Amino acid sequence: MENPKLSAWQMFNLLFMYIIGTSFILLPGSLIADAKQYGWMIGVWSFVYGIALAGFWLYLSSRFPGLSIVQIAVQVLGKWAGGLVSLLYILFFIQIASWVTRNLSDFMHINLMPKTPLSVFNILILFVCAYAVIKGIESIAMVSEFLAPFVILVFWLSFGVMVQEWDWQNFRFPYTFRPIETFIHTRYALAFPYMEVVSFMMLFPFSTRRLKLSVFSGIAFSGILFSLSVFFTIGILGVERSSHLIYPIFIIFREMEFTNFAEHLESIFSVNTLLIVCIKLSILFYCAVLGICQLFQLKERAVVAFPLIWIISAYSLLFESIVDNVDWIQKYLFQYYLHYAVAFPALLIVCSWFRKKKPSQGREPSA
Amino acid sequence: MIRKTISREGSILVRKGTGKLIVDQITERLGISPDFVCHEIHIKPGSSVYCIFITTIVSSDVIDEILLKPIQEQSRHGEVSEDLIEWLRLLIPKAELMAFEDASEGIRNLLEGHCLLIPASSDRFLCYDVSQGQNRSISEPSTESSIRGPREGFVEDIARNVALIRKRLKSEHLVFEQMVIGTETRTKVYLCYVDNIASSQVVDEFRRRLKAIHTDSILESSYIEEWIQDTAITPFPQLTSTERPDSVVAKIIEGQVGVLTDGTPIVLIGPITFFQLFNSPEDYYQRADFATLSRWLRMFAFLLAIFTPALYIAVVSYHQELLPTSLLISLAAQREEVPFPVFFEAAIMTITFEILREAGLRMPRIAGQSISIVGALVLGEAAVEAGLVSAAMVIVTSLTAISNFVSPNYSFGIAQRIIQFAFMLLAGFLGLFGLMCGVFFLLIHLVSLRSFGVKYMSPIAPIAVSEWKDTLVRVPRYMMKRFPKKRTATK
Amino acid sequence: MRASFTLLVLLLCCTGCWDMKEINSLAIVTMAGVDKDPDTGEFTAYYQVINPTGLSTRIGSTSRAAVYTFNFKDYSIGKFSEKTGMSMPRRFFTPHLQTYIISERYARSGILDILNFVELSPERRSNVILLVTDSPMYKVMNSFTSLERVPGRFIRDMTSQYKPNFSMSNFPIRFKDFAKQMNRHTPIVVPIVHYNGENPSSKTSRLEQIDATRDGMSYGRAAVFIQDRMVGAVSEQMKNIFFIINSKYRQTTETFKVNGSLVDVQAANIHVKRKWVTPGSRMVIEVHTDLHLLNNQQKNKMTLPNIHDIEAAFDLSFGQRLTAFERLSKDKGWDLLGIQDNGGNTMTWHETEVTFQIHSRLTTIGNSSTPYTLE
Repeated sequence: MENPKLSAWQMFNLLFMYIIGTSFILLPGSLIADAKQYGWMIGVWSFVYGIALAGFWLYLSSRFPGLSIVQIAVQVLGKWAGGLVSLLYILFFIQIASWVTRNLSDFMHINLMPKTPLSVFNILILFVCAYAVIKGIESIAMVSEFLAPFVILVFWLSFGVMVQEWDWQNFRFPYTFRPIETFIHTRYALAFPYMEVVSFMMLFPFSTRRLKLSVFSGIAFSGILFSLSVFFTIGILGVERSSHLIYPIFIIFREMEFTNFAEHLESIFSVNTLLIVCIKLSILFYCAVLGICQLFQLKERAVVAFPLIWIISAYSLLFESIVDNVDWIQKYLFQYYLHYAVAFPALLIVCSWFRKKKPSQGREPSA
Repeated sequence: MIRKTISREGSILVRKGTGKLIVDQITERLGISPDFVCHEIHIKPGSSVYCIFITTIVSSDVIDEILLKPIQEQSRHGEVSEDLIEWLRLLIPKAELMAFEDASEGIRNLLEGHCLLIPASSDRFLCYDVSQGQNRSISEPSTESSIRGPREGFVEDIARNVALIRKRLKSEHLVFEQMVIGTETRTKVYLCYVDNIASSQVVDEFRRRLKAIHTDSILESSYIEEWIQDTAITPFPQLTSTERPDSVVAKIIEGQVGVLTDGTPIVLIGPITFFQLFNSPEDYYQRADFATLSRWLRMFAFLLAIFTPALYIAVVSYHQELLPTSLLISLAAQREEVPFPVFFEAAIMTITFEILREAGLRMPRIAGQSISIVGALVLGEAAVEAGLVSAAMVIVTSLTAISNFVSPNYSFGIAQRIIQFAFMLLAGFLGLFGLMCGVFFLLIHLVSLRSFGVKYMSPIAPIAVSEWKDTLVRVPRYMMKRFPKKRTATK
Repeated sequence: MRASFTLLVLLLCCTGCWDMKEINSLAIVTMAGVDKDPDTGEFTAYYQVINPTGLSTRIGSTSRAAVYTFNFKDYSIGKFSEKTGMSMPRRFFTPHLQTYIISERYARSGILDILNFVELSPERRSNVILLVTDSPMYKVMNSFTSLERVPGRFIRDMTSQYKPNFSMSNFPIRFKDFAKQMNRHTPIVVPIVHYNGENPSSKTSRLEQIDATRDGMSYGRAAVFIQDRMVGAVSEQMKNIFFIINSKYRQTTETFKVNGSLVDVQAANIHVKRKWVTPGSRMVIEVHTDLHLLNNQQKNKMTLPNIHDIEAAFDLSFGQRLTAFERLSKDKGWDLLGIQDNGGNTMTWHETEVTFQIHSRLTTIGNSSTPYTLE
């Protein structure tokens, strides 16, 4: 098996693409609906939370240098219990991957091609991602490195044009802000992009240098950009409209017109979305495949990747519609993610403390 | 001048010796060809020297003047020493002394255009290079013409190509390593690099791959390219080729490695990166600002070439809402009478264009003109007039074609055409979504490519800002004082 | 593995094309007119569909109609796109709709239903403009227009002309502006399209006629919408003042007398500032503007004192217009000044005392410094 290496800059870009991924098409609408003109603040505190959580994972990872979460679990908890935890993580990655797939195909289905069946989008996009997975994380990292500046530039340039619709009155919506209640109510925003980052526990071992800096800055940067885009959405679309729309940012692009020729620029947004989501999906897919390979000691990623396409695409059809999906996100996502993002890593840390105390030289006897 | 051709039957055996035996073996193998010549020169009674060569690839003047004349003169004066081989070496100091193992050593030298002097009773022989190739003279390279810059191009003779490079690079670090590849053709291949600049890893990799070639024939450098490239499953060239000595020198002084092949004027250069495919040798002879702009123009043309037809198909047959209204109306008006769906219209037009191009490529110049008239008139005018294709489609096709011709590298142009067709297919079936999947696939493919261990998309991915001064832009020369960092192969 | 991969992708491709729609099989709708009978609740929708060959510049096709109007009746808006198949040979295609025109009686009964429909539909953009007509719908929708051969574009370009003078170049009469203002108190003011003529000019021969005003469309009064409902109409002048006071429009022309002679000035770069003197009850609205002299019939030479005279006269005259506007707002009970949305009290806003302060500077006087006079 190859031994990939990720530079700090690549790790930063991967994280950026991963966090921005589906969240900036899906989240702004419900955030603004829940917190009105203060929606952007949720973006701020959730990325602070994301950084804290990442520090926690990094601590676990630094106790076992060179090992991914699947390997750590097997090493700490032994073959059977650890294997079970690893398997759960693998299922978790597959699950998120299928949600991401579904988000993308929903987006395409609603906005661009209403007659094409969802599974066509799913299968095609998963094939492309499977190819990326087989080529390895280094290739995915390099693509994200290549795309990130382009994506940011195009997005903000065209977004900037819409500032002509800016209206400060949008921030004077009659609404009293109660931070604690809002915080509890919008806990899904903590879960949705930031707790998913736990899958990077699979990738931390590949980092060559300045891992902490790249992870923290990656989360902070994407969190700031996300908050900014929510802020812009409020300023441009207004609280009233953006809380009623499913894809507010898409609508901003759709309604953009400057000069008579350059109008109807939603294609820019769709293209951006597609590329970013492709990266996010490839990362998740890679984590799932890598986890399986590590757990069952397989050498060839292709053997795992191709069957997984069918599993993910079938799993992604589980939700009936986007309303179902959004409902699940708002009600249960936080509790569900809590297991993987906090409970299991905490368990592993505690167990590793005990392990460390018993045999003085630590790691050799396990696994 | 006595020249006596002896056929096999006519040879008289004076004394049995190794030399005679070998000569017989050689004659047996090569004697059937009419250009095989074997003289027996009697030096003194009882001892003779065979002079063997293949008359079509040697200069007989040289043989007469340098080999035969001194031997005859000396032997006439009778000043012949006992040891024939030493005597011959004194007479012809430049000749190379070799020992027989069997006849094939001699045959190989013969076929390379050497003349063999074999004393009948010796187990060693003398070998003298008298080869004379039928070479064309150095002329301007026809495939890579430039407005400013030297007019010399490589020729088919490897020795002259080496001379052309040496003439431009008088460095002690310039190294040529010879290899002979091809069991039948025995083609000379030179590995050429500047040893204090080129990364030793890359040179080792070249050497290793060249040595690993097992083939019977190398007729052109493309044979070698196919053997030594990293992967064959890609449309992208992983080595670039040129017939301009100045551009070879420019490349090897940057640390790249050249592969010269005997018998072809095309020299392979590697490792290359994707963005170097947009460079033309002329960039370095033009002003820096202009060179930068023309590089950007080529990149833009590349994007146009691969995306224009696909985008047109996607937008016109799937996403009409993305078009500005006035454009939509004028396209709709043009397409009112066109009987084909957009995808087939595009396919017909592009395939017809490919046929035209293929036809024009092999035609003599004069017939080529009539082809272009037929193409322009029949396809451009008549098809639109008849309402078979829309004018917009003609514009799209020609824009694509012209953008494709911008590419400074011919094989890169071919890659563009392949991608263009793949994208058209994807856009035809799934619109913008299919197209973007194709783009992502292409990106993954590009970054996973390696050229001799060097990442294909560097210095953009992985990023190396310090190397940007000669990829995306060409900064003025005074800012390029330092040589670029050695490109090291990474696993 | 690779072969099966390729094969699968190819198979996938072969089944594609669900969303393929050829450009020449589309009925591109540029303008829609909606009328709703308030008694029965039945909608009548008019769609103007582009005839591409009629618009193409090729010889021989110029005399044909640029658009055709189809109309349909139904009780629900969602059914129209299916219903169009009954009489249109082409596929109904709405993303390029430029303008919606609604009848006055529909506007007065509330337009929430169409607003929600447009926002829901991915096929329709909500940045299209919405206009009201006080003429019968069939006349407006069945008329050809001069200069711009597509009526949808004719109307849109008529509004676009004003756009540069709007702040950020937005004429706020789009669907999205209605959606945004849904829960605000400031009304939305929308121009009313008026058809000048007895019969619709439904033949292309109308395009050969030189009198473009007769049997043509023009803007006149403006409809006032509070939330989704039209509550009345104001004059064209009041419409301008409304946009100016709400910091949306920045230019107007004013005529007044200085020293007994008529003077026309154009007020440009108008900036409006609101200040609460006592929150909730007293408000000062400051207007700053640059004046450009358009017409000056005074007999005397242009001097500094004279310029000050003109400025003072403008301040007075414009102030009177603003006061009239305020009175109109309070008489009708429409919060045209936007008091409630700027910190005013919802219950007592009409008791708010508003004072106008106008500060103008004459910056451009034109080419002649002194007018020609008869001795």
